[in-house]
Amino acid sequence: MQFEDLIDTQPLWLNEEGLSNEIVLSSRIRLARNLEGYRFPTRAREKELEDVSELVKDAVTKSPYFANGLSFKTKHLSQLDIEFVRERHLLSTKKRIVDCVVGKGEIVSVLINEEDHIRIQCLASGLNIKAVYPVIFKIDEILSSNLTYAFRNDFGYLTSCPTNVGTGMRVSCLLHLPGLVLTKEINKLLDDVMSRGFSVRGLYGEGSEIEGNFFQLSNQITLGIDEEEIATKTEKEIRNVIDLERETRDKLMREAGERVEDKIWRSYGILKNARMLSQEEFVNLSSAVRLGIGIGLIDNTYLKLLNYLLLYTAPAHLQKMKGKIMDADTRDIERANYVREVLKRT
Amino acid sequence: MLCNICHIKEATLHYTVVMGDTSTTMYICEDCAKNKGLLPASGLPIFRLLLNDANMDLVCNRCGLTFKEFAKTLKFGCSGCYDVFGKDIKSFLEKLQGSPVHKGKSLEKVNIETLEKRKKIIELKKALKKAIAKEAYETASKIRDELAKLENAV
Repeated sequence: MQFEDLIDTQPLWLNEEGLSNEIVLSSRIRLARNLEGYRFPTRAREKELEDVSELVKDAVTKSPYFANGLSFKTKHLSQLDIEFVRERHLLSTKKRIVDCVVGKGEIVSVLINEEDHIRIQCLASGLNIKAVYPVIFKIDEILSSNLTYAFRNDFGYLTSCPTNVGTGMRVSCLLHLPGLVLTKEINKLLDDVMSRGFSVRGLYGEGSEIEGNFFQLSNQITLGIDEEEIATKTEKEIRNVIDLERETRDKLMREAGERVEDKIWRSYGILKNARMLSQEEFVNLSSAVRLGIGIGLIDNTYLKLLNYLLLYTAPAHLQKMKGKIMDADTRDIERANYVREVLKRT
Repeated sequence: MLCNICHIKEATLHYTVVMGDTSTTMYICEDCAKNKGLLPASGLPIFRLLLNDANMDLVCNRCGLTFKEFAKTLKFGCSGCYDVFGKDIKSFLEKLQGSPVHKGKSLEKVNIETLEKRKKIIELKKALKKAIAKEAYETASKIRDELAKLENAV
């Protein structure tokens, strides 16, 4: 796989399969690890980071999940390409110079020298923490037997930030919660969820804004609890939120059905006909259509297209697809054109 | 709600500390806030509130990180920091994570010998590249033999 192949393939975790996919876009587990004997990335010298990078890349190639994969350094990427991988959830921070190794289908990836030496990530579409769990730990095992991890019995896996120490494990799902937002019950839910040890972020993770009614829900606690418990408890919390969202949507349709239907169909109409669409507008309108699909108003076959568009209308993706840098207005025109074109594919 | 620090006066202020994906809230009365230098907003790192029973003079002997620096950024410099600051951060970890002790998967004790071998392998690989670049093929061959021995041993 080459870097330039990425734009031509849709990541497997973005397809429309997966449980509860009308509410859960994707599931993810991330493990943070560091090597013994090398300073952590925020304090290490360049030479140390190079050594770490070589050691880790070598170990990663020993995992079959990364056969025919792709490896790149953000140092060698253009600003556009860095934005591109960020849009694909392969990278979350723009700040550090990192190495990234991606497995086929972009289901698994390893980031080297971000905040920790190693960040292993595994994604699946829909609610599927159960499928991701064994995969991420298989990779962890291979890395562990080829590297010397920094670990202490009482602290567990050592991390740069104490918020990750212990299991170094973060389990999260991307949830679409328009019902709770429209009924203004979302704030109460967020308070409840946070009081139980879970955190909520926007579409692109830490530091990102809430867009399109998407919420990333993840565990906060990584220490004093074992890995299976984290996965189980987080899944339980997410299922509660899914149930609540479904109940809220039912209530919403009972009490304001016509208004909601109108909003959904108007959004659908604009997406199918607009000549200019900003990213913000696209994300908001597609959220309404996504709700329409979720409540059975709009045909389910649209979900696949919406998921595809969610990624490919993002600014860097759009520009890479069209093969040129575009200013905001041009992007808005191209975005609208592309959306009209794709929505004809049903 | 009583002040989290003096437990006597009523808390009139609350500070929510957000670190990465975690947040924790402390409720404080005006006097304690003043004593801690939080009034007026002095830019004092709020994390010090959570570390108030720690020894600020500690320094990590492996990477040079001082506890004061750690208190500002809440980022460790290396695994050695955990050995040096360990005792002092246990109560902090409890406040942050609800527990100071790891209960998840465990790893065999860090094998220092293996670690040293792995570091040597990296050095040899670099030396090999240099030797080949210089066309010093005899040296390169010797390095390759040494590498093979080490890689088998690890």
